[in-house]
Amino acid sequence: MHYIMGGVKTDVDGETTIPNLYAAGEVACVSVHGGNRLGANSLLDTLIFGKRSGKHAAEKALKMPMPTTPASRLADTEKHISQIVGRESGGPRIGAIKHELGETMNQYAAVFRDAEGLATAKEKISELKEQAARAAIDDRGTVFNQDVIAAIELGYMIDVAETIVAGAIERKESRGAQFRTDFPERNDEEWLKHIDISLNGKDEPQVSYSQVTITRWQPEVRTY
Amino acid sequence: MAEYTLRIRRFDPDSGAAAFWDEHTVEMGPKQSVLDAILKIRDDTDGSIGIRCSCQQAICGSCGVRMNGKPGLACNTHLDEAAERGHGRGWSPDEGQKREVINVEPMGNMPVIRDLIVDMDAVHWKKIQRVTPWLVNREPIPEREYIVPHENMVDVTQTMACIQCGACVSDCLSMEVDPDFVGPAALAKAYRFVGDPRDADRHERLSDLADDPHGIYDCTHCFSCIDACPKGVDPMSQIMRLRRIAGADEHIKDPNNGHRHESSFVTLVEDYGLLHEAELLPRSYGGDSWFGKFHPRAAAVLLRSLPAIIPAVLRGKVSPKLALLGHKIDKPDLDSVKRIYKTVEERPQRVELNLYVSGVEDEPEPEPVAAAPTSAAATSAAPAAPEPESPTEEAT
Repeated sequence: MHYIMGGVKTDVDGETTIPNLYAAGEVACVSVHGGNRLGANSLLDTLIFGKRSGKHAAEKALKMPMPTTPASRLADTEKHISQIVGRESGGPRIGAIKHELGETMNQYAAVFRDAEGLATAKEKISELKEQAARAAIDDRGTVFNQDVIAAIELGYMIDVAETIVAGAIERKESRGAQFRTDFPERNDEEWLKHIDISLNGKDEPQVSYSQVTITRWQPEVRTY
Repeated sequence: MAEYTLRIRRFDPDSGAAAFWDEHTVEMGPKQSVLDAILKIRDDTDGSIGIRCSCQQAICGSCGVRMNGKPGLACNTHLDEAAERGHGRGWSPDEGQKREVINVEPMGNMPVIRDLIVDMDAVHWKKIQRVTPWLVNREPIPEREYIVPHENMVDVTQTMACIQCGACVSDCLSMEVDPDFVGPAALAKAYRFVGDPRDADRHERLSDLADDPHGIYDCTHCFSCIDACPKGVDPMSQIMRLRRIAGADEHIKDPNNGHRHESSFVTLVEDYGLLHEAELLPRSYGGDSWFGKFHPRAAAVLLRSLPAIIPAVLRGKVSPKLALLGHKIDKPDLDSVKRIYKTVEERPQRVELNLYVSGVEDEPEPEPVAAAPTSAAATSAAPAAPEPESPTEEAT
């Protein structure tokens, strides 16, 4: 698989559910692709929605005063980084955690999925999440510190893996790129809907649903 | 699997210490890349090694480094190939357990920020900006799309293959002595637009780069950029094409004596059958004729050069007779040279000679020149036809 149909939820102007925050490209989910993106259609994400997002954001910014960032935000981020830099040595290695995360996702959440495998993946990811929080840092410098960046990115990777697995567990049907061997059929009655996942301030991903906007093309069984 | 020792050049401005060699030994397959080895060391042993990388498949251009002296992408350089560069004469694996050692250093000509990471903004990107790296539309803008003839697109494809890795900038010898030299990557980028029929600024671009003392005539023809480029862009060949178009097609007389030097070179070889070295300098400054040396510019440069000329005469490196009269070759030989000139000058189109023939064993025989249009011939290895411009490509 080389494309993720899901992503940061946006409207057709690229605006996310967080006001004034935009997402465009493969990271975004405008929901034009449905359950499986057709070949070459990622161009929509760059050429169409990239342009729309940029334009909309620019127009909006022109009408707004320059926002100020509260000092507490900066302090929080500084604290986060200095916590990483100040970790004691001897923890698990970032590279090893990343490798195991990849292997886990490849084995349980790639082409074929089932409840048992996804539960294993969920458990493994939460183990890795715990390890990642104390992963070893070799570089405590301030210039081009890629080690700290890797530690931060590892946290994001785990968040994304957790979200993918939560969505896959939730959707008890097969649709598009999701193939559940324990639910091999598509089930429009129960599952013709989006699964929205957000932390909402909690530690575990929270699931909610939203309606699918269907215009000209009705969903049909894929027979080719 | 084999054992490779990577000696990585480390530098951390925070530490206050000088750069040093950091040695790591890894067990890896000979066809794994130098980047694979560095990332393995970073994963397993030392996460503080700084190197930029992203795609790991030779398309993003992030991981430019020097490996055993040669610049390139760490991700598409095999460990065995990089190690072999370090083998001295008579190297043999059986002889006393010789180690496979790969020295990995940051690229040259750019300041080092940290370990293998150089400041691309300070040098490479600044130079790219210098050449107006975008298409300047002709006015009025056409209503429909502008269809570019296929030959024109093929002609600029080679320069479009550039992934901005900076390997050519790293080893540019001209830039080493003149940091202001626009340089191989940026000049290849300039050709990408000079060769594009949609661009409105062809003449302006060329006269700008010809008039700049750090422009197209600042290249010394050393081939380092051609050796360095992992994508076959051949920056030096593009610089030579810019010179030919500037001089022969656009008739740009630059203040750097670049064009005068080239035309004097051509005329001298035609007249004498061999280069008349003593005439070249005054003519390059004074003008492409026997009277060139009487021009004030020529007199000035001759005066300035006396400290070099006098010792050369005293030590017998220059004979006054040869300096005044030039080489004499036999009449039939001189006639042959003139015939070559005549043949080439009678051609309706200029044949672009790609001076560097690389990877020939894997490629089919080049098409005969007659069948290939002038512009497209440059991308293939053209047969070594006699060509008037080739002897003129000396440094100015």
